[in-house]
Amino acid sequence: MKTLPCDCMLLLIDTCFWNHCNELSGANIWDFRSILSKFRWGYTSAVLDEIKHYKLDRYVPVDQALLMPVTQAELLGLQKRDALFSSFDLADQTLIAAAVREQALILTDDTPLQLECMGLNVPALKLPVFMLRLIKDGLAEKPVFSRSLRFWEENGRYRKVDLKRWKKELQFLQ
Amino acid sequence: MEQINFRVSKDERRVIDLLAKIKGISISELAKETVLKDIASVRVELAFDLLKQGKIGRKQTWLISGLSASEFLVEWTKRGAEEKIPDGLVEWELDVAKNLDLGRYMRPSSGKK
Repeated sequence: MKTLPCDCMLLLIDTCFWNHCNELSGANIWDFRSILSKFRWGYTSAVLDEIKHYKLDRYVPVDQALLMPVTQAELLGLQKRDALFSSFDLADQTLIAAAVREQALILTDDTPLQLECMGLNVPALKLPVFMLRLIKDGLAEKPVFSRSLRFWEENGRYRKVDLKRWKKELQFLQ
Repeated sequence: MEQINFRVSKDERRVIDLLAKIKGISISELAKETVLKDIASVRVELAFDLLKQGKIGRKQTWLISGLSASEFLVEWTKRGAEEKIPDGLVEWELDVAKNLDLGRYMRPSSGKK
């Protein structure tokens, strides 16, 4: 596992996001790992612990990730800056702290974490919106997203109103 | 490992001593076994109740439920669970995605746009 911070920006991916990627892959719809090597991506050791705890390291290529260190001072600084920060678990706190420092994009399917990111002006996307963006950049295909939408609808993975909104967004993409 | 200490009355202590003796285990083993057994039976219900009330999100629901990655997704579907999402978050997220330069997150050798 690489431990040195890199020069350019990176994706920091949380456990909920990985769980949903794993689910899509298991359903033979889309495998995020097929394009993952194109990105600089990583996590913190607390997130890695979670991934291992939930046995998601069978899916997540953990040895390809950048392990981002986070200091106690960085966590304390964010605790002072934002009262809600302390209510998050260590994995989320370290992910936010690393994202603030590295100007990273957080990929998460947890709404409270995404809201915290919004408050701190840290970009954060859920899997469906990230996929939409990948389609725009030619890194994913529209039919794959349509199949994903159907799968999520059948399994109630996201709210119907959001699925409808994302479907509408898909229509605007070339 | 973490430690939990709690106080009990003399009578309660006598009952606990007796039960532990009958089961042939230590008092701490008995206490741990009893507490965890009780929690296991209610934690899934509690987790999804808190989610429904909007008090917690997806990840905390997963954590409190104590379920594995796949069990949690199955339970989510079975219960028709939904996160409470404040107005504006979805549009904020779409704006973030639109204004993002994805190429800046890509490795130099990946033929980024």
